[in-house]
Amino acid sequence: MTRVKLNTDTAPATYQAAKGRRVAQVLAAEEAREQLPRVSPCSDFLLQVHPMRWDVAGKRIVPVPGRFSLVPGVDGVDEDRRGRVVVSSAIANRRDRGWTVIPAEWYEDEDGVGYVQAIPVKGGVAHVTIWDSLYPGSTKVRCDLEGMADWFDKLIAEKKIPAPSVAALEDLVDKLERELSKFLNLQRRDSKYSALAEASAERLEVARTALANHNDSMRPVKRGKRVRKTAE
Amino acid sequence: MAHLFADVANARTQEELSSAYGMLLAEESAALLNVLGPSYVGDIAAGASNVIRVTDYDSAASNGYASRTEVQAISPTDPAPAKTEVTVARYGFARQPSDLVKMTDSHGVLNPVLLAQDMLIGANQKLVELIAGLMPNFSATAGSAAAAASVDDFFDACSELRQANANGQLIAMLHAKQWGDLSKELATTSGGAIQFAPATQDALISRGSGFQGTLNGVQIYTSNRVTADAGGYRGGIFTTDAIAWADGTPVVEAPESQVLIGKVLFEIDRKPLTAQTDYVGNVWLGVAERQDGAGITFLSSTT
Repeated sequence: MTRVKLNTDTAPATYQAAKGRRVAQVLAAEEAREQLPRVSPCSDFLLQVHPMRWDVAGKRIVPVPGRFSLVPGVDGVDEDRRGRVVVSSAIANRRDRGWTVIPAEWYEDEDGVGYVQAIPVKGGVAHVTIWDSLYPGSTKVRCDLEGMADWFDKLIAEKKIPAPSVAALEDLVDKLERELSKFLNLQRRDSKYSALAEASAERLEVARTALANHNDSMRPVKRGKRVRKTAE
Repeated sequence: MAHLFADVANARTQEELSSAYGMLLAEESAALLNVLGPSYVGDIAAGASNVIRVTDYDSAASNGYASRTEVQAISPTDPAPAKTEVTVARYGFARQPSDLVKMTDSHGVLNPVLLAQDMLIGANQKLVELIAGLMPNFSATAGSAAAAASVDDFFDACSELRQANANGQLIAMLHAKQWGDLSKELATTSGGAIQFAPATQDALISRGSGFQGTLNGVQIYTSNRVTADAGGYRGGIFTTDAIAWADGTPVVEAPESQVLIGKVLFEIDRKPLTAQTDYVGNVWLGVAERQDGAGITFLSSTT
């Protein structure tokens, strides 16, 4: 925080008093600014999910959401004559690429509708989900993964977003197997990796269980026509 | 918001204005537009629309030549075009210093040249921010929000991109925390350290302060505009084909008060009634994901 010292020898008394008040105000504003989270400002958005992006969080399989920025000029988002954000064509474009953009109305609680909150941060406003917490003077962003996972489970149960397919779960198991083997190797060299290896093993177990409990087995595509091997 | 003497009076008392400005400029790193990598698809000037449509066709190589007998007819195949629309929108920035602020500015930072330079840097950073905002949206992911960024995950991501036939220079756009985690690992593993070539002075000048160097041939840029969701930073690794960007060249109608700096229209507007001057910068930019397979979201924990 900037510290201000007045030169009391040269400044007239009335000027000093006025300046003292102003300096106090500026200092208070600066102090308040210093207490703001130091997370970079970012624009408003909607979450979007893709059928092949899954991870294990809070002992559950959850989608790895992407950000659909509500900023004109980004990924086809435009604005109309009145400056309102126009997203219809951009959302259609995301849908063509396999994404489901989650409307704000799909989340509602006692504080209102929507899952994105705007928090003043140093240099502007950061838009984060309601499950994210920011801290004064810190760059840390902590997420209530359980809360977020509960909501995603609800959306999946209501068939608003797709559930993980067998193919997606198999990919996840493969990825976590590689991760576990990496941490096990590192653990042999340095014991500080033990905790990571343990956590990785737990995550792999969650993914394997989800795969084993999946109702659908992986179905092959429709059988093709038999092909002739030789000329007649 | 007007820039008044009352706002800076305490700083003037201590003559701290230059350090304050230095801090603000350094808060976000820059990467220069012409070398960052996303494909530039054009300027909307005189194009009758603020949208540029790019169509990517599959090549003859991907359809393949079919085997035929001496006189057997060839069945023509249709190309399978993929379209991307880049919508260009306006981004503006203004300073409004009063005459008193300017006349007491002992460091000379409130002059039109430096303000114009600031606006050019700001436009550059806006483009970096827009590109960083696309990183969470590739359908492929590498790494995990549950663990710090690792060199293994980084190489996995590169390998996955190469398997998807993403050709050309790979570019990584990472949060400073992700890069910090990677550098820490590089410093403790000799293999990684050998593959990393830090940015030289020349490279920093040509590519911007956000350029960190190359790791196994991948150009690394950092930006704190890379977002965090669900407990994890979402950086990305991509090739030129993954992202398209476009801009617009504004028309200069009053050369006595307007100047075009690159694509930024810088204007000075005098307000004699309030003894203030507006310094305004406007830039028109648009970015969009072009080929999903040419990029991968790089996940890592925020803690």
